[in-house]
Amino acid sequence: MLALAWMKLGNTSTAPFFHGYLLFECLMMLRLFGLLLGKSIASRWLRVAGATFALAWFTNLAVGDGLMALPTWIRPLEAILLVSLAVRYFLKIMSEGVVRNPAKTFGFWVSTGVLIFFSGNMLLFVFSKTVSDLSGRAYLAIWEVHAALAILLYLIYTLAIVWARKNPTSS
Amino acid sequence: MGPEESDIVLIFTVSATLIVLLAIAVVLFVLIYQKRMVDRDVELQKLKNKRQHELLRATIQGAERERKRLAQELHDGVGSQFSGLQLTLAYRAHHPETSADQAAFLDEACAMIGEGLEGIRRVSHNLLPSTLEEFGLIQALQDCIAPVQKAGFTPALEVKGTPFRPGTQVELGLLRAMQELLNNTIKHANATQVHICLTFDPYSISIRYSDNGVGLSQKLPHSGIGLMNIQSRVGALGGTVSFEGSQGFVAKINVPLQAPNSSVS
Repeated sequence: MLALAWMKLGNTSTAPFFHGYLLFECLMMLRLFGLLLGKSIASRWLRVAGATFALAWFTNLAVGDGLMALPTWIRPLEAILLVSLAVRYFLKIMSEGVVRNPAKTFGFWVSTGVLIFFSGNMLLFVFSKTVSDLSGRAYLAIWEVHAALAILLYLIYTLAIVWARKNPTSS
Repeated sequence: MGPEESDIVLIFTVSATLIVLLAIAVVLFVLIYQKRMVDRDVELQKLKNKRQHELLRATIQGAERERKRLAQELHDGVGSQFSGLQLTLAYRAHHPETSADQAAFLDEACAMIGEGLEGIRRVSHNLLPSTLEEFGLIQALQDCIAPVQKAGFTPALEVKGTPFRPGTQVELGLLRAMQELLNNTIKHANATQVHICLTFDPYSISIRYSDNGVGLSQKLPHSGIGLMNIQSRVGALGGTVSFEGSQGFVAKINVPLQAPNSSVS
């Protein structure tokens, strides 16, 4: 709705919404992984990561891609950060051995979704400029792959929520 | 879409597919690794439990051996010496040269030695219930509740199923548990009635012990160690114990048998 109103005002790109979404998504996921990883990762490091990302995001808006262009390097940065945290979560459950059945935990499915979605889309994020220069059919074909991965991500998030509701104390 | 663009789309699609497959492989690896770790932990815990079980059984067997030795020592050593002393004093008391005063004194001493001997026999019997070895659990339990009857309780022993001899270790373990429970009832329960139901099943032996006393919550501070001993003993036999105590006190003991038994005792 906001985007439609924005376009009616004569703007040709919804990129500002995407920039806002990126910052919100990254900070929320950092907070979520902070809860999932608990004491196994110093909250100080997560705060530093969040602040660094926010600074990079602001720099990109101010002197980089700008507000009206699609982000070129901020999305890969976010992907690297979140994939690293997902891998860290897997390492945590493997080393601690506390979680008896990871497939029945919220954290496992969130990390699985993050790992599959962000690693699968990494090439697209890195070469987003190249992709946006392609012709309509080729551009659409690549974005269909992206859409399939997005659907997969939200299906996996649904599983995570199901387990969180069934077993609220599991991480 | 030109050939160059087709190649780009192909590269993107194939790369994304490969990376997703790799990510799925990582996830599967985590799941399989964790399952193996859990299985290994369960196996380790089983081994640990088995070792603890064996240690407990060895400790109990050692304690029983020591009880047996002590009982024999009391019965054959100290008991025999006291009996000899009693006979000597009785002979001296009825000797013609002994005065009436001396005879009365010696008779009194004989009576005191007799009481001491009775005490030694009782302790010796408690340490080594010979009835158990000779006549089995039912007779030993009847012997066990007989003194309770004298103490003003109304005990009842009920036997269900076809009795058989499940082996000395099981019988001894159950008898000791019953002795402990009776002891608790006498000391702490303020009960007037005790009911023991012994059930023989081809695959297990179970006992339901109940009294009409104050129940578990008021009994526990005094009898907690005794109840833990019962749990250890029954645990060493591979059995289970549960205690209930809202109205009176109820203990349920079940000891599974290695092989079905049907031999009549």
